[in-house]
Amino acid sequence: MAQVISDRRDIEFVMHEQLNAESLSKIHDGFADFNKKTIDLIISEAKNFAVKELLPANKDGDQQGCSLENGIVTTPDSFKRLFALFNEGEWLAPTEDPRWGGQGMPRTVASAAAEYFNGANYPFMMYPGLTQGAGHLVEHFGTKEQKDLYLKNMYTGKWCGTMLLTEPEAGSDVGALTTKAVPNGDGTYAIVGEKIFISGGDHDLAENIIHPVLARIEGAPAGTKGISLFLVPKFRVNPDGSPGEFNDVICTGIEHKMGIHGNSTCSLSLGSKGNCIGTLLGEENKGMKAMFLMMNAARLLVGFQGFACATTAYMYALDYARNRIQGKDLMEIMNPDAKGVPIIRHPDVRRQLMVMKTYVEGMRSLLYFVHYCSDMAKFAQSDKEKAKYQGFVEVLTPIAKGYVTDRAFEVCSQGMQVYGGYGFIEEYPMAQLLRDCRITLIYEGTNGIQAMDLLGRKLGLNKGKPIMDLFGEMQKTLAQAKEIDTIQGYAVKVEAVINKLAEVSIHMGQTAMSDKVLSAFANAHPFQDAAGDTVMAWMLLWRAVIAAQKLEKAKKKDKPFYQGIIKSLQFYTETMLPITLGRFAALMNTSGAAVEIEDNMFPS
Amino acid sequence: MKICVCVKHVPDTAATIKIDGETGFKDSEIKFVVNPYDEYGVEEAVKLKEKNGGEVVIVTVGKPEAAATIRSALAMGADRAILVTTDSQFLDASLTAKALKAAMEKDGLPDLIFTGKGSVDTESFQTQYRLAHSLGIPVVNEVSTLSVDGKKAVAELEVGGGDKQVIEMGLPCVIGATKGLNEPRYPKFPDIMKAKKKKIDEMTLADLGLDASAQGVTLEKLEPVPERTGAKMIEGSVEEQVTELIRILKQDEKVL
Ligand SMILES: Cc1cc2nc3c(=O)[nH]c(=O)nc-3n(C[C@H](O)[C@H](O)[C@H](O)COP(=O)(O)OP(=O)(O)OC[C@H]3O[C@@H](n4cnc5c(N)ncnc54)[C@H](O)[C@@H]3O)c2cc1C
Repeated sequence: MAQVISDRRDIEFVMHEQLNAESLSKIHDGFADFNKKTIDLIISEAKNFAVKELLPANKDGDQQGCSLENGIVTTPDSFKRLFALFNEGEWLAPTEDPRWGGQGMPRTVASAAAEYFNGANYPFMMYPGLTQGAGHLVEHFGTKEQKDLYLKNMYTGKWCGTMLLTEPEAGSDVGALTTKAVPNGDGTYAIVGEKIFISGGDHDLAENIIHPVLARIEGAPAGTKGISLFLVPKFRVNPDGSPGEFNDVICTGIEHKMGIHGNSTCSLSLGSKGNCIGTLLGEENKGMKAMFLMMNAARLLVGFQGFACATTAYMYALDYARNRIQGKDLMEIMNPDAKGVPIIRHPDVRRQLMVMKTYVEGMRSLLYFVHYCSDMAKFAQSDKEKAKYQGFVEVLTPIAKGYVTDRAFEVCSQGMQVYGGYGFIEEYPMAQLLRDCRITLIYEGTNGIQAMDLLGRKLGLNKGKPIMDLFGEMQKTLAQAKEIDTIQGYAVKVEAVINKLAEVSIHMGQTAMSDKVLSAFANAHPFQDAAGDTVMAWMLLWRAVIAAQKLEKAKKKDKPFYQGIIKSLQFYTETMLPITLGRFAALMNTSGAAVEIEDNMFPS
Repeated sequence: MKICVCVKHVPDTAATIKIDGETGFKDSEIKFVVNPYDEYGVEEAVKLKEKNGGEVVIVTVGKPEAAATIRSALAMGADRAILVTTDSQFLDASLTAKALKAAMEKDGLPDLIFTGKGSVDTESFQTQYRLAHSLGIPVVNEVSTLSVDGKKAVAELEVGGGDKQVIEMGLPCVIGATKGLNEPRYPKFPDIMKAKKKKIDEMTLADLGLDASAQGVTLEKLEPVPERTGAKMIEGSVEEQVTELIRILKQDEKVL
């Protein structure tokens, strides 16, 4: 089959018709070159590279995986050439500052490249992805010296980066970490501790690896308040920039995992021989806040990883459903001479494809929108606008990570279902997609932690202004939709759900501050589901407004595409929104059963 | 040194092509790419330029939409392009060669010309020969190794059985590139950005004094390839297999 990963037409729809990415070229000089033609060329070349190089190495990566022998971590053979090609193409830091070796691309535009790259081979993409993220931390918090020493080599992929938070006793609760930093008296620190589950923690793709490490300076307060951020290279870097002595960062093991076999997940022992030196990045005891710069970006990236698995699964499933002949047409069931039909003719398979279609489209619009908001938060004309868009990014991040990856996994599972037994067989692509997708619900803050962030922090952020602004934005779409005959019926249904979200948000916020706080948090994940459903409905409505407006004058080939967008809205409002209303009803119960039940009432 | 690379805008071989009417297909629904064999030509030309200096000009005869395809070739490092626009994807090779020649003459004849060994859409394998003939210069097709110095080029091509033919010729000449000549690069991100600022000179066949209707070969009809029916495996010893094969060829298929 044609290896497609994504629906190019829909990418262009979101990029140009929904978000008008070209308009970013007018608000920021650095974006001046990104007109529509250039954006399309970037998408073409990203797709080309993804399909020709990244995709063929995906299965290799899965089957060969990584190994640790004699202290050396080896990545899949095909990844080495891939990493060299990727860096030659200068794709590693597309959105970073050109002064430091980035490409200065709008995040909105980079979304399309990220979709193709991650859809083709996201375990590979984690190496450059984490490197960019770690580089961004250096760019933001580094001293001039640190930047000069590390940044260019990181943004060009000569050296790689990681993030070192997790320890055996400090997973979701990062504040519990025990890695120690002792001042050496010369401005540097001696680092001692054990980190686990470190993605790309050690490997053979680059000559050096730069680890941003969370640790506690001796005598600092307990919890997150006493955490500082350090830069710890695998090999120390000489003042002239050349790699020096080994810095006592030892890989003591790599994990055998359900998926993402191509990405090494390492246990790292820092300073076990007393020889690990780090330099402070940012201020003492402000490490957690600094690290959040990388974590927020990483959360969006994880949303993209999940989504990329979903779009790839959808495209495969669609192709399979068109080609697999099985069973008669339901209307011919009594006819003994009737021939088998492609399974896409069966109503139940069509339903599954529609579930995949609506989620994939809604997720794409949402994720690109969040990236668009980050561009605007940085470059919008006024401070007021910047603050508004920054608020959107913050409120939508738990949804873009937590809600999106939950749904993405369901989409992969539906895709496997469409393949029937073949979906479960490793020779076909579905099994790997489903396995690889699963971790996105866990790392970078589990989806439970995301839900608590949404309820506990984001709802009440800045006295609720961001969430109110978001409702304002939704109202604009509703107003437009109500003017259009063909979709106003659906708009009314979406409006009911948006109003319900407003009502339930207030209820949940109040409950979280009452003596029923535990009950509120027992319902945080269901709240994230319902809020996510609502945002999804808003996106699908927004898309349908554009499609409906364009339908009449559309070229012949575009008509079915726009009609399909309106069908997604219809499907979602008729089949999913009633369930969302049910979720809201459940939230109004704010059941306390889960917290009231005594531990001894569970089986012993 | 000035090098021209003839690049054709062709449907992606991975695309599903839907035939429309007798001789058309739904080209607005599919993706077009640089003809894969031409990519070897672009790569070789850019490499020569990187080594010796000079200029690489892409020359395309094709529909106006070919401009997007040309941008990809520019992103690989070519300097500028000429697009001779036509209405049809299936211009015959003689007219294509005339158009390429006229465009190159207008721009100033190059020292070296690359084409692909053939195009993946029509596969008529003639354009390079007709172009060279009309310019009165040498041509070698299916070149997998090339060296160019000063006034001559040495091309190697595989001739089967592991043998190679080595041909030396004077410049200018036409080289039909094929797999093995090099590994075409992926455009670097900064080169993609630069590509959009590079110049594409557009002209029509009429601007070059050519008549679109004066084609030697016209397309009669496009038909989908019938789906392949399942292959049949013949079991047994070699003798049994051969006996059975002859029986099938004689009795079932009646070809013997
Ligand atoms: C393949 C892989 C790659 C990883 N890469 C990295 C990396 O590069 N860098 C890095 O630092 N870490 C990395 N991690 C670690 C990852 O981020 C953690 O596994 C994750 O944050 C969860 O921590 P934990 O495993 O200790 O689970 P726990 O924290 O023990 O959580 C277990 C369960 O309890 C829930 N839970 C825990 N605390 C709370 C709470 N307060 N309220 C409600 N529920 C709670 C969780 O939601 C979860 O369901 C990686 C993990 C894996 C598996």
